[in-house]
Amino acid sequence: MAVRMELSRVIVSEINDQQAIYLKEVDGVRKFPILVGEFEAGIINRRLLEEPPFRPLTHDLLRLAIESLGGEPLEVVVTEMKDHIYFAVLKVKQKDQILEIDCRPSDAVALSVHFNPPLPIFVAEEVLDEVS
Amino acid sequence: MQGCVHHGQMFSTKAFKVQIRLQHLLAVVCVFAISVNIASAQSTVWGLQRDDRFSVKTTIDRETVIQLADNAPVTSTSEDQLELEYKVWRATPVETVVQVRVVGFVRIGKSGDAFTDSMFDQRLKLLERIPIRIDVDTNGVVTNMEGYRESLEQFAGPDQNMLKLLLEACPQQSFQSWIGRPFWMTPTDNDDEDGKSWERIDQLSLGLMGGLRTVATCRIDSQENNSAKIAISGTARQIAPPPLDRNASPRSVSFTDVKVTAESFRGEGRMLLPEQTVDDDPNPVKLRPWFAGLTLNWSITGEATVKSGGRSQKVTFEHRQKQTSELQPNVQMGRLPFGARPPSLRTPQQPAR
Repeated sequence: MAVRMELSRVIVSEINDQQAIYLKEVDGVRKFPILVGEFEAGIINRRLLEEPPFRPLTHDLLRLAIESLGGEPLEVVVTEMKDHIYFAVLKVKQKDQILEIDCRPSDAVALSVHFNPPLPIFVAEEVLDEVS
Repeated sequence: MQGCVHHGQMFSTKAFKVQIRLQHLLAVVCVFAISVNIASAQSTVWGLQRDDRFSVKTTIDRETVIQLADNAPVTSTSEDQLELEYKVWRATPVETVVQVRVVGFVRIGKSGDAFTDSMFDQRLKLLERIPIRIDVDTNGVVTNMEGYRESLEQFAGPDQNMLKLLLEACPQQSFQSWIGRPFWMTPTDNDDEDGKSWERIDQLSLGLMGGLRTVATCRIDSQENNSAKIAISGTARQIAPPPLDRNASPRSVSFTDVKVTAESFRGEGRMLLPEQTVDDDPNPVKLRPWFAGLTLNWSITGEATVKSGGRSQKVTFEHRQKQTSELQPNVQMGRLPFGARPPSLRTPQQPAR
């Protein structure tokens, strides 16, 4: 069972190398942070402040590639946490198939905000129970 | 910077970083203190003479939260350290001409060298080559400044759009106000009779969103030997941004309906009191006290409408800043042509020569 979440805050810190994003339950109050890299935080930040890049960056390329290959991105799901590392999948519909592509949550969330509207974000209940 | 300029999305990460960087450049409060009395030489009301030099190191702690429309808010934090060196070019009882240079910039907490990972930092370092000259009157007000445009040109490099943006976001008045801060905190001729409190008016830049006019009341809190503690309280009023001139500006976004509220503006400082005039001095000069250090805390909240590409969106923001300035112990006074000063007249910060 996965719980619908939303991106609720982005922390861009120049004081240290670790940045963070916060996911919050859409129909509840539970929330938790995920540490992300500087690049991913910058990409998400750019999107939230609606600054399109002059040329396509990595996540733009990924979105364009998925769309060009006939894929229809459906959602991102944070599926589990092992040794304090989160795992996620990107679900893409292609023809009659639903592909689940392994990815980092930071990339998944970054990719989600590259769509309008953003792709839905889900977190597995057991993950949420553990971290929120 | 180029990408966002071309696309006109100035209220973006980079654009806001430029604003914030400029803002913290502008918002650095520098204070210094030296009190030496040489009545026979041409000196300023602070006792400064030609070739005297001192530097002030300022640490700036910032946190900014921006939320565009219904998007998730973005919190940015940073801590920087900046050192400015001041060298007296000309000193008279009515005017002090000082040359100012950036001699150090460190981004605290980031791994790696401060100058290795950012074009901004590299450009800032280049500013060391561009001295700025300011004329300061006896009230500590900067009456003239040279090198403002040259500094921004150096910072912008060959990017003319960047230069135009800097000129817009970093008005000369704010730049002048920032660079003259060491003299700004000195009590003026018109201050409170008992010399226990005085008022200073200043301008803080908020980049493309205008600025703040601050009125700070400084009051002596306690006094001990040759130093005193200062308490600072104040108010701030918004200065609206100028309307966008589409012919002159490279940006295609503008901020309207800007509302900024100063939630708090306060601080504390340390001031060095002048030592007694030498008894046999034929022309004693009444020297003013100097500040040896200052900490300012301020926070603002606000909202604005950002217009870009025919679209209007609401943006809200919060900004908190703490900046601490300290006079560095490398003060050099009494250089040629006036010779060394008597040890009894040196302040504790002044090294023996």
